[in-house]
Amino acid sequence: MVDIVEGRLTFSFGADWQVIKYDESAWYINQIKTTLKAMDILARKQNDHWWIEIKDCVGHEVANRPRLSPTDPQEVDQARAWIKAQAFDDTVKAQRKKQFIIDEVMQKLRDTLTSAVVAQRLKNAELLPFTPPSHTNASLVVVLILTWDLADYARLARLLQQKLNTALVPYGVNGFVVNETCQVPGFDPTITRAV
Amino acid sequence: MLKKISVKNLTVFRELDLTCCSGLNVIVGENGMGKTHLLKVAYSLIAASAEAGKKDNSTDPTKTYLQKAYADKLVGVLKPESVGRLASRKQGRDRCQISLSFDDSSLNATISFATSAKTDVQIEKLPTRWDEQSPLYLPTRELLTIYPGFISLYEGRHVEFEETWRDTCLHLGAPTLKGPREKRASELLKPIELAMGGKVILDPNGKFYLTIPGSGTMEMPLVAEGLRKLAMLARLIATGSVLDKGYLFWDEPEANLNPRLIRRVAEVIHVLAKEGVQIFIATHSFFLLKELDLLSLQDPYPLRFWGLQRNSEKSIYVEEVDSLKELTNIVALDEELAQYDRELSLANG
Repeated sequence: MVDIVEGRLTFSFGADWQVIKYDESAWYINQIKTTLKAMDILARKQNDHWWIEIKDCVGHEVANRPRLSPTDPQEVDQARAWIKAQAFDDTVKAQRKKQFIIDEVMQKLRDTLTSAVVAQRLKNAELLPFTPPSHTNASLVVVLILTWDLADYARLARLLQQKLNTALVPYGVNGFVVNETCQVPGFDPTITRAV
Repeated sequence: MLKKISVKNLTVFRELDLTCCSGLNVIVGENGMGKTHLLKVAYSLIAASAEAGKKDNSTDPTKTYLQKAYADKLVGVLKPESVGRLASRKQGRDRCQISLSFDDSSLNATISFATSAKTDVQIEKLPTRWDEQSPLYLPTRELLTIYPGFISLYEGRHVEFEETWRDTCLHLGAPTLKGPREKRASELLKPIELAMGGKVILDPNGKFYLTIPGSGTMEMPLVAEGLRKLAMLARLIATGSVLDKGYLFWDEPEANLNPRLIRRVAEVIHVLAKEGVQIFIATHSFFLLKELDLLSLQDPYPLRFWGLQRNSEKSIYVEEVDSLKELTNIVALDEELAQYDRELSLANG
């Protein structure tokens, strides 16, 4: 049994899993040195790989606004209009501070894939068990664990999962958006919340 | 089977090519992107050919006949003041061109016309035979309540209703099927009649009613709008008008329906596509899109999505994909997600 703790959530994986808390690995800290973004957990069961991003937003929903919308906040549009009016648009670019949550996951996925390619090239023993998705056709599933205190969470998760899977099409990978009750076929860690 | 729809300088389109699949073709896009125009243009050209082929004194297609027949049908269906009004006015003197290509190339047709065209189009490519399969066009609203007397009104007066309404009313008035085809229709009708809680009947007085077991009959205008739309579909299945058609064009099947009824409609569309009807729909509903996609995962059928989008020059282009997840821009989806942010913003002052 391996326990991975991320904030208030603990993920308990069975003995048949190989798991690493990627952003706390020696490889990430010493070699990558945070120059790339990182998925939270890399997990493997036989030849199936699961890369997990955790956004535990329960109690922090307001602070995490506006992550749920792919549309830029109106303040960004106003800033862009001001930049254009000042004729700064050739030198200045305005963008939202908090990325759309799916864009953030995709950036972390791309960066983690890049890091896996480098680890494979350098034969890094710590990361090697988790690098096959970067250079083989090993199965890879991306899971966004998103907790959000919302009555119709299932609807939100369904809409975000659609956006995630559209973003994943070029990578030939499938994704899921779930909360801590996590019902993803084949992905079976026990998730508990610290009180 | 229609293989390709190509338009140049048609209403909002500069140039667009759509490759069709043999089953369900779904047009997705914001309002004002020309979704309905595409449905109506393809319907008009096919319907003009099918109607000519069914006339008693029908001869082989001629340019003389078709240059007026196509123009009349386009004007009747899209209701511009003249056919030339369908040509884009932003393109100077460029002509509008519309081409339909079929798996049977003898049906291929290309027409063109200038903005000044009044009652005729130019035939660039003449089909060498008439289309034996008729198209059916279902508008966004139900037609059962306007059916009584509508056809005679349309034929006898200058009225501003779309010709698709007349065409579909003709199908509504057809007698119901008998024999083996009735059995096939009954199977398809079961889930719809269950959702409606009854059956649709056409009374000898020319009015439609919903018969509800144990409750008698209800005049169609008293039936809920969404159920009336389902009733129209039920009637067209019972008369064989849907099953027997080669092509079904359906604008916003989801209009006035709640999600439970949309699910039934998606099932019917799925069955029809599996039965070999080539279907073209335009929709704004993410729920319907998802249902159609899920049905494809459960029981695969030919499915094509056409996502209409504007590029930086404001021209409309199409993203053609075979699964919903490949469609990169679904306004209904993005707006629902934006709604969560707004809800949170309001809840926290």
